[in-house]
Amino acid sequence: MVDDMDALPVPNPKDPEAALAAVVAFRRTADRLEAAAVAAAIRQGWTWAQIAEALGVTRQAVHKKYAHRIETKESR
Amino acid sequence: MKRSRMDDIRIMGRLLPDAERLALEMGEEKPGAEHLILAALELGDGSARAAFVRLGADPDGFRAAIEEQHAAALRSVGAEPVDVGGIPPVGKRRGPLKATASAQGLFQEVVKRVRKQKSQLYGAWFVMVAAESEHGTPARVFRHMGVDRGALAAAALAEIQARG
Repeated sequence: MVDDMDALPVPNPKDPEAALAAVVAFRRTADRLEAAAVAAAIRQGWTWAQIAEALGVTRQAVHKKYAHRIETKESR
Repeated sequence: MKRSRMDDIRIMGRLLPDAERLALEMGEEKPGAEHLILAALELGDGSARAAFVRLGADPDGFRAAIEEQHAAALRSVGAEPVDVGGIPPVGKRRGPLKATASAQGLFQEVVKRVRKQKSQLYGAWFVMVAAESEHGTPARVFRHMGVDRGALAAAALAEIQARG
């Protein structure tokens, strides 16, 4: 287990140029993953409340962010 | 033909929504300075594109270079970039415009320079001001494209001056 942890690549904060660029890229990946996963959840019949709960945000927040971009049964 | 002040105002009103659209298309929540540059590359005056061409760089390669630079940043720390796919369409825009601090800063600085120089709002202004920043996504993307920032700023200034 310790060996596995040693092998885990992590950004080196002592190299800020690389680490900060990686932080931006990770955030961007998270944005993309969230948008795609919310769209998939709606297609699979999840409610906005369920998605909000899974993301740890309010239903209003997730609805405001994505409802105009994702077709739901009600909007068809 | 010299543009009117109203043309500039119309362009100003279009650039940030265009940058937001481009960011959403690329799966990002808010536009950054790099999306504002992409929006400037789409402007009809052609000056932003011409600045890249002056250096032998492909302006159409800027968007792909953003993706490649982010992928390289992930790889540099041992993470493998993933193709998420399934990003929902942009949808009809509504509510107040959202932009990152980098996009807001670039936009405000360009407007300030244009006014100070009594110039017009050419796309090359965005390239020039962005090329002056040492850090941030645009700087990394220029580097990834093999474009020298100083040379790009000079090329953008030449394009602005050529248009009066």
